[in-house]
Amino acid sequence: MENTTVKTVAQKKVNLSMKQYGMVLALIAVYLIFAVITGGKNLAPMTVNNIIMQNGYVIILAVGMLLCVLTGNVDLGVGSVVATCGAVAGTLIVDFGVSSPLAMLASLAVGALFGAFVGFFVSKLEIPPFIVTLATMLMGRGLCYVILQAQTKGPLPADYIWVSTGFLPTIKLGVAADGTGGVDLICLLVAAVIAVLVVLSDVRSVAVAKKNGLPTVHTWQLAVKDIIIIGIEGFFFYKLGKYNGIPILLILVAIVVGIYHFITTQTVAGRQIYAMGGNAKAARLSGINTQKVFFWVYANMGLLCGLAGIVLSARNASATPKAGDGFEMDAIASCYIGGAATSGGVGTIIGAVVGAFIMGILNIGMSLAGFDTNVQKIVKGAVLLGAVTVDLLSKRKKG
Amino acid sequence: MGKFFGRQVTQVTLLLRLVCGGYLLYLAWELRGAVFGPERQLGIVLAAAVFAVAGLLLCVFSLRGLIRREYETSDPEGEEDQGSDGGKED
Repeated sequence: MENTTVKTVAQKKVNLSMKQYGMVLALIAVYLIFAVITGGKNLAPMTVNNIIMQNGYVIILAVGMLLCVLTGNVDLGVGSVVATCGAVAGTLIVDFGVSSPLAMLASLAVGALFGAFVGFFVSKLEIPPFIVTLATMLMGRGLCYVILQAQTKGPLPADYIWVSTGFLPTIKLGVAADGTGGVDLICLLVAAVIAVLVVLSDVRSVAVAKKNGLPTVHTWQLAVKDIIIIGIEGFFFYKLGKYNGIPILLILVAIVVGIYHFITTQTVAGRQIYAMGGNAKAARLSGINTQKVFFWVYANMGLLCGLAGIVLSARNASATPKAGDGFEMDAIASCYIGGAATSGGVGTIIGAVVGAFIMGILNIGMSLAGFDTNVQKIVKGAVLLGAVTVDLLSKRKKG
Repeated sequence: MGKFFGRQVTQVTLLLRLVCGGYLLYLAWELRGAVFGPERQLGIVLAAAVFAVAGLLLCVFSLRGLIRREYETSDPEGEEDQGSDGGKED
């Protein structure tokens, strides 16, 4: 009898959560719309490469920002801290002749210090994060101007800018006689490995669900999902392979995303952050040290700002006082576009990354399409209005 | 208006809506050149009007919600909790 019950439950099928994968479909839709508008310009290998090159730092910041958003808060100071960290690295290299690795470490340390500063005020003194991070926004920008003396420091050395402009060595296949064309074998191999991992991950999750008597997703839906995901990553790596191969920045971003995806989904610390966002009081009563979680969330955000500062200054090959202007809005928007809730406790790292890509594709697509600035403003406003409307409607349903 | 914003809004939600409202107003202001310029386009005029109205509504109602404290506090040391927690700790 017991076996029968388990078998009945195990055979129950559920549909894939469209809330979870809707953003991926939106990403494809936005990309295809701009492919039509731009006459296929955004399908070019160089444009695909630029999507990662121009949005790498936004993705890094969105990953850190998601943790803040999960606790039901935001960090408004990230743009200024990014600029300050870049300024520290730039000044150390240009004015003091410090080596690039040491300058990078200094940049990370300054970012972490800023984060610890915010974390201390938020966790120990219980000042609202909105206020503290507003303060770091102003302080960071001021400090950046002081460090750089309102000047641009550069050019930065080749081993520093390699972080944002370098590529892995390539093994080109099918190169024409004149040396043009061809696809990088490494890109194709990476795409194949990811495809296998995606399928294996689903097979494993289905096996675990069946073993525990949990409902499983319809097989055809899983197959469609895998085909779409493998199609996207295959297209992405093929285009990279047609260009210069895998950018160093992509590896850096992949490592950051992988680490934080693991932390948020597989570790106690990740669960604690979600629990705090869901219900801070319940989390505290169940033994979670909410002060500690708050501190580390903001200290971590600072560290990632340091990393983003390195990436940004390396891409510009210089440190400028106005760098990082408005980055906080890009990072926050990426999280919300990716499905995070303003009230906290809801959202994923992958969602934030997809959100950042949607924004990046929108920006690059509008530039390629030659939209005038007024139309670009209207598109941005429409996206924002849409996000606010979704937020309002979801709150009304819950209310 | 409490119903308009729902019951499950936090202070941060209202603050973010205020920021979004402000940004929409800024966008509407930025579009003024095209609205009042010689080459007026209906689409831009409409967009500017929608942004201005939506931004104004968001700002006004978010600000009202913040002033009237129409939000949930997720503060673990909230007034209601202190009594019960104190009892437990004792």
